[in-house]
Amino acid sequence: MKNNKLYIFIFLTGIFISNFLFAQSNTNENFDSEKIRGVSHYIYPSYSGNPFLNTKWLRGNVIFNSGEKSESIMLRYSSYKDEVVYYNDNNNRQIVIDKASITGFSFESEYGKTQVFRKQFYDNYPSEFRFFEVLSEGVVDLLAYRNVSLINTSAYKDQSGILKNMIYINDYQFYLWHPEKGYSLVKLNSSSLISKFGKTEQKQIKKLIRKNRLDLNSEADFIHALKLTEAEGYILNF
Amino acid sequence: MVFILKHKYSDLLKYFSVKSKLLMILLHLFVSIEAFSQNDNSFAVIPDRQMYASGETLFAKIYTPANKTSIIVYLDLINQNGKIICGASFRVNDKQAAGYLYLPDSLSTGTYIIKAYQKNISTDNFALNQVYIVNRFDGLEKVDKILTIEKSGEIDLNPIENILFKNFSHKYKSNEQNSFSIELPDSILKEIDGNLMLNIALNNTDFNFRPFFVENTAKSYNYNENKGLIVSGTVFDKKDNSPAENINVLFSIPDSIPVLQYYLTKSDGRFYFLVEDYFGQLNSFIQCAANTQSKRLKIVIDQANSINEQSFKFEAESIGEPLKIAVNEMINTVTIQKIFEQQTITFNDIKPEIKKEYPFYGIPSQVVVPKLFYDLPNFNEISKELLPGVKFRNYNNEPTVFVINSTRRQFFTEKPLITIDGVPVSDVALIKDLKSTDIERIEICTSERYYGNLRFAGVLAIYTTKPDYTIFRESDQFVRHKIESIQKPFSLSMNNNQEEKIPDLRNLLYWNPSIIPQKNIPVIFNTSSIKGSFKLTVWAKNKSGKFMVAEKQFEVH
Repeated sequence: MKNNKLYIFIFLTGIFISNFLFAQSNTNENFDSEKIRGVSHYIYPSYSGNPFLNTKWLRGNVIFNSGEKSESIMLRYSSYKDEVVYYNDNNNRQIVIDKASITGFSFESEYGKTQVFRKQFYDNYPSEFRFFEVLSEGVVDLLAYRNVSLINTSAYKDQSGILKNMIYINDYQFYLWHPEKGYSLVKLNSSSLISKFGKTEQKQIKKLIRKNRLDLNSEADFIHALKLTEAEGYILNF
Repeated sequence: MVFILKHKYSDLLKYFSVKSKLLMILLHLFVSIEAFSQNDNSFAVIPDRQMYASGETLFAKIYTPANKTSIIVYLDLINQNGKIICGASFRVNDKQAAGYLYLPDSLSTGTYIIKAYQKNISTDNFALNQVYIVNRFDGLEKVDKILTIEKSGEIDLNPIENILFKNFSHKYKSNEQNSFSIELPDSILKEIDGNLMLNIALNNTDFNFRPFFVENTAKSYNYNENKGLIVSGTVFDKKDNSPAENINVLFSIPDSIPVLQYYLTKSDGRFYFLVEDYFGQLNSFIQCAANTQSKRLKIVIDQANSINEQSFKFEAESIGEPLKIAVNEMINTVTIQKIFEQQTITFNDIKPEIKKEYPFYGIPSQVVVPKLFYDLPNFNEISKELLPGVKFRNYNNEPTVFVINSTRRQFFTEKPLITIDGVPVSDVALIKDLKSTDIERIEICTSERYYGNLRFAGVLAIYTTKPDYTIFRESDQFVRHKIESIQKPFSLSMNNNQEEKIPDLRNLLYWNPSIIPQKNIPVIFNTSSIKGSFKLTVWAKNKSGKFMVAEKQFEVH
């Protein structure tokens, strides 16, 4: 009885699948999709710290200026050089994607969180195109510039016993951004956020933060606080 | 399997629970819907008139099926023997397209078929219509009968009910501007899918050709043109004429920002390239290189027209003297139009969509314009004087070129990508004799560049002052291919009266395939010098895919 059911199911599934199989193309997949343009990635000098945001290669998407996407490619974001490196399986190369050819990228981090980066023109000093991580989108966006700087430090020996005097350190910068108002640097703490509101509203905002027991030193709580203030109708002043 | 065949389908169901039965019924419904969706016959091609003189322009509107994803539709003009005379491709917008065909002067008198089709993976259905073309040098003197396609597959045409033609007269004076309006009731407006077509043309025949739809389960294509036109072909190994596998085929379109695509052939030796965002005729180059020394390759490009040949059955109908007289008059007017080179088409301005900001090889690290410097007699001198980072040598008449790797601060050991007007070339000798006056600019990339899976050890891109492409040596492996891309947007020239002394001899007074349906549609048209019977036709398609027509006749005196 069970076998009969199985045979019937397989037969019907076969009809179903064959209907699609006849419609399959035998062209190369994505032959008409936009190609990634870039240059060879050369390994950075080895110092303590990590020049990359993600230690491992992570599957992500890249969005071209045309709006097309290249999906499910292995990516690493170089916080040190503010560039995206992808791994080309076909020729086993690490390639820095031309910044001018893309508008952004995203990947799922090691912790399961989707991180979305957007290329924007930073009109303060130094004026240039940067990749900002979009932490929150709304009337005002909260952006993170995941910068890593290479700085001098006291001498130390690395893993190979070589004496070095520079390290990579995280120098993350957070900005509130409005398309017309531009960028406003903000620190992850309550006084920095509160100072962005009008004096008459600051008391209510402090109350709102206290009521929701938010620790604005953490990114997640800072984002939450920003969304709450937006939901309550408070307007950021910058 | 034997078990299934032995028993009736209904008997099989008793083995399953209610849930399982429901699931299977849904599955089958889905499959049936899929099957039914293949047979959408709301596919029709409608010409502006039924009779033409050779040398005239045929305008056509095409309604495409709703279930097809292709954004390109093709129109072929086919003779009675099934041979394709000419064709064009049009962009589909909202299941509709419109375009024109120039009818060659040399066409012999007879019935011709216009065929509209799309290139899709699934069943290759097409739409047909027939027109009668008279050779304007022979006329109908020796013709007593005309052939018409045997009536089968004709599309039903329903009247547009309650349509009103306000201020429309049955008599108009020649060479005057006139106006009327079309009023559509709400009930019709709700039904209409897409835009209307209105044409006002000379009505010199009794022909009543209607559009056909043909379902064809013969060959179909193995791609959808859902992004643009696709150029396809096959690479063969000339030794045994077998398809060549694992060959990298390059496709380039020379332009100020050139296009390059590549395709690695599979066991069938086929390649496919997308041509996107181009109008009109353009030059392209397709090349490949053998991956072993013993291979000798040949590129064969697929013809642009339909892969399915047509054969038609005709029946004969007699024609009388009145038609012959009308045809002679038509031929005279067309001949005069040709003498005075009167244009029937005005091309619309196209706003270029700037998608490509820089070439496929990247933003160049140096751009050198030779004309800003002293004239230099060959590329050897140009590279020495003007191109730091480029090492060009010509020892024993065997030129070599290398580009510096700016990151490593040493020259690449491999040849860079060399392009001339955006077309990759492998033979360095092609550039050795180029002098300053031949070159508009040189772009150099001094890094290891990647374009998809392609790797370039630096780039040397040369753009010539007069790109006529004679510099390229064509061969079986390097083919120049002229592509007829989609037609440029155009409109019918309303009035050819550029000078008062030249008569306006238009047979087609008005043609607009994209009228937005609304309650009141104002129409302004100019009658020409031609006197006689004219017909106004309004075409529409409703949401169920049925076609609707309204006609009015009037006299011009």
